[in-house]
Amino acid sequence: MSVLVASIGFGLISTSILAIAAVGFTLQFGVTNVFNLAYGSVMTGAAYAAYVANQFGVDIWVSMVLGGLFGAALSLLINRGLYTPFARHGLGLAGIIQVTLALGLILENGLQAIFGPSYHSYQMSQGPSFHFGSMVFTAVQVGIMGIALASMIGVHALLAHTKLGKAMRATAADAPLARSCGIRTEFVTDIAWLLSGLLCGIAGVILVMDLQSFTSTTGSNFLVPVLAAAVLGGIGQPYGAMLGALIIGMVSEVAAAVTLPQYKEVIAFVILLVVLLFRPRGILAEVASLKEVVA
Amino acid sequence: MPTSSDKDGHRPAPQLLLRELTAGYGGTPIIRDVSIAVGLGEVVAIVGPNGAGKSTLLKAITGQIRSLRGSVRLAEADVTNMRGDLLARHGVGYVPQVRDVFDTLTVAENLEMGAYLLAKSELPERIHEVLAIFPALQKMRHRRAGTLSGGEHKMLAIGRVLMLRPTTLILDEPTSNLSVSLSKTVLNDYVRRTADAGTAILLVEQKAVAALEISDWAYLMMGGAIRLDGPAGELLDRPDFRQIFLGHVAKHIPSETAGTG
Repeated sequence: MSVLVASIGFGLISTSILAIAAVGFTLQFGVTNVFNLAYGSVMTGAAYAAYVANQFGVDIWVSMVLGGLFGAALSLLINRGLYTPFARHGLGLAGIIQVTLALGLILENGLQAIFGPSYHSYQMSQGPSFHFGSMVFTAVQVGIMGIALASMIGVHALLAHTKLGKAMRATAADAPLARSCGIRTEFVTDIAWLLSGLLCGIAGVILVMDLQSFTSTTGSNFLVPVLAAAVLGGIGQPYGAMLGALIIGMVSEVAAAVTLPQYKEVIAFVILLVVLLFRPRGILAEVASLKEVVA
Repeated sequence: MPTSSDKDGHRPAPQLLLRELTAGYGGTPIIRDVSIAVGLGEVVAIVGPNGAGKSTLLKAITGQIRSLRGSVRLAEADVTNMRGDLLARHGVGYVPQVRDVFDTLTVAENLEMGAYLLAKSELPERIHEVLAIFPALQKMRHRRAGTLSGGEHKMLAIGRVLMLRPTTLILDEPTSNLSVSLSKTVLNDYVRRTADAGTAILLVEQKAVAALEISDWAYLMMGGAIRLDGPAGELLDRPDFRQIFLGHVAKHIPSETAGTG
């Protein structure tokens, strides 16, 4: 029983990291139609950016913010400098996916060339432990959950209640129509990449804070559950990504506790496949989507 | 028939003026030397068979494709090849034939996006005004636009574009998916009334007769060029014009009658 309760605690941490990453990923696809497989490598890049700051003695939480900003800047640059030009030249959805995949590998190998193949760790303390019933969390873990919660509330407030957020959803739904309303869609797209890049960067750093050590492939390995969470909820749908993260995060940790740890991802993916069999457009299709996706 | 152009064909000064506009895809012209004028308070119809180049023309006007030659002017401003968002700032409203509302946004949010360029403080008054024109939208404010029926959908699309109080309104086949009676409502109640309130309206329609009945002036487009134009009422009475829209191939019309309008 205590194993189960502990696994729910682990599940909450996994959910937190997954939710931030999956919402960022789904925003990129929702607003700009780019299924960005370089996302995991950008997470790793941000983790290394925070690592460099941390090595210079910067506090880990400040380093996390810097990593987030690095992710935002890099994502904006990637979209402006690479994806948009390719799309403008008429490269379709599948072609762009190839470009993102290639970029991901380039980034990953670039990071390995700079930092080497070995594992790195942040200089940080896990802080005091907090007991919630029979669940125990470190201060860092509580911080991670707080950041995830704040991010989700922030994303919701932005999309549902601000003019910029609504313009983002309008651009996602139909960019030419949004332009005809006077919305500067290029600007809105830039903001979407900055925001999703920020989430991507933060997710990369807190993933490493939780794992405690990382290498150049850490982010791209984590991309697999991120994709699962985003697709499970319904790709392009921020609330779907949150729900998907909750399901994948909780199920994989609890399943690992009651069976064997190595079944963690297998069980999560069996659930993904079963759900997609019955709801091919994701759980929240037609509820909170940024766009009508025929995928 | 209400009209802003009198019987002798005197028309108001053009608000929207196309001069020899030539545009197409990849450098190949689809439309050639199209010259069209729309004055404030006028409904000007562009009619023509499928594939005449009507959609290409609208894409060129609204900045979705680059025109190769010619100009588009709005009152005094040259807006040739101007981006869609800047056109909106010049008071141009555009309702595409399909994908004319944001399906994933609610009705209220669609109206808000229509007023994107306005200050937040103006929003309640504008919403109030548009709801006065389309009272039925009131009940659906919180519904997602994607769940609306064809008629409700078009009502929202026109309501959305009116939020900005456009001086120039471009409508691409607003009746294309509507029943005959609903088409009449859209054309008579929404389109004609909006023009009477002072807006310059360029109306592209497949339903030529219905469109001409509420228009002041009309242009017949075929094969990418304007083949004839004139007061809508006069065109309606011409047997050769009617023939085209009864489905006959009218080989003799274009060259012989061009420019007599």
